[in-house]
Amino acid sequence: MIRSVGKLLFAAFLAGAAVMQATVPAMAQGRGDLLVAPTRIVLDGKRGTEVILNNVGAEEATYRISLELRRMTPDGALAEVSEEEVNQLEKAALQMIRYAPRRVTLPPNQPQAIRIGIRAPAGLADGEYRAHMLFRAIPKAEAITEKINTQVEGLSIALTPIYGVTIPIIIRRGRLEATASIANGRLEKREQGGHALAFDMSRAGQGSVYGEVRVTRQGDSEPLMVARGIAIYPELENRTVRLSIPDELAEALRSAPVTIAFYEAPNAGGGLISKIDTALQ
Amino acid sequence: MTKTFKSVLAGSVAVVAALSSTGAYAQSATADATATILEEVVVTAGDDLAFGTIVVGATGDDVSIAADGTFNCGANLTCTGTNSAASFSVSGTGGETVSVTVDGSVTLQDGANSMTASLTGSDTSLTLDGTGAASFTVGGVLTVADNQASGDYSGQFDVTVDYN
Repeated sequence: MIRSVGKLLFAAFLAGAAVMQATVPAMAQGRGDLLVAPTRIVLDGKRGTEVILNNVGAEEATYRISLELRRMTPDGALAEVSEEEVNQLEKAALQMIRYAPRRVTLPPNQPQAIRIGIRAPAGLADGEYRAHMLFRAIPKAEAITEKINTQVEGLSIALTPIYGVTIPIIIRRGRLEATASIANGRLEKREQGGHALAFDMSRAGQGSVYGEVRVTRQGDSEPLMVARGIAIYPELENRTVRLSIPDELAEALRSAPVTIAFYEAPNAGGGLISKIDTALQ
Repeated sequence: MTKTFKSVLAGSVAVVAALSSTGAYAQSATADATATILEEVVVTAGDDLAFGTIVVGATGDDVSIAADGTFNCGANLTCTGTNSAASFSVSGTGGETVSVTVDGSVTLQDGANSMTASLTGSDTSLTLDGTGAASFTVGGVLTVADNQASGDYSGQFDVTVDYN
């Protein structure tokens, strides 16, 4: 299934590329700029899928695709897991995810499908297994001639960012129940200036919870703000969600009592997970 | 390829269309076509993290570029050339919340000589605006030692935009 469809998808994607490019705003184009779609993969029983990687930079670039382990911290960041810390669940996730190619050189606007297959070992325990797929460009070595020409008295410094995208690959086995609730909605001042809407989220059960937060003034039908892609992973029971918001929005949220509601993602049913009515201070 | 639409999302989406094998050559209206719409993310780099050129003396000092671009050259050093914080743009679905992970430090080397710069990102979490756009910057503090050897120093640091 992966083989034949992959080719077709790939060919047809070329036609779609022009449409898609129009949505990318004009930006300074760096070497290694990239597009990745989709941004999240959940496999419930399915054996495989694919991810599109596209070079949206102005120059040819070589990209490396790898698997990483990350754990969510109570502030919602995804911290890397060092080799000594890897647990059984994470080890199993790395072992069952197969993917190719792992390195690809692409001219500008050339998409490439990265095929992902899952091979679960016999007797795999029920649970949620997860790894994060990292896509990033490998910087080109600087030409030696360039370096000689820049001889100066003092220090010259060249810092190259290796930048990329990580997306989660989540494999669910068995019936996994998970619930979440939100509490303690509040407005905070950010250290760097501006405001943040913050609230606490707690989770119970064997799986992760993923969805979107809508904040609506009580009595209104349209939300004042929507934040998508909010997750709490199984390694955590409690986290704080902190969303930067413009000052006008902070003002609007303060002006009347609001409802903060957490919904499942639309493609997962879109059901209400938890909500609170509160007056934000 | 049985699903017609996996998800339809406002803002920026990638369209992946595929014709079934029987429909690939058919021009009639009965051609069997499906399309899957995937959420996408684009990450692009703008300015580099540039400390310019630094003239050193017997005593070392720090050179810093805050994430907002504010430049500060230690009193024991002379700084010339252009400086900037590194900038990155993210483009995706409006309202999406993503995390940003930046290395805590970077080692700069010129042969056997080295220096270290600590790094700070402007944001650890971003919410893409209504048009699906967001940006962030990375600044740093470069520590120049006493009698730091002249030369062309280079280093690499990792920045990732993390989706949940």
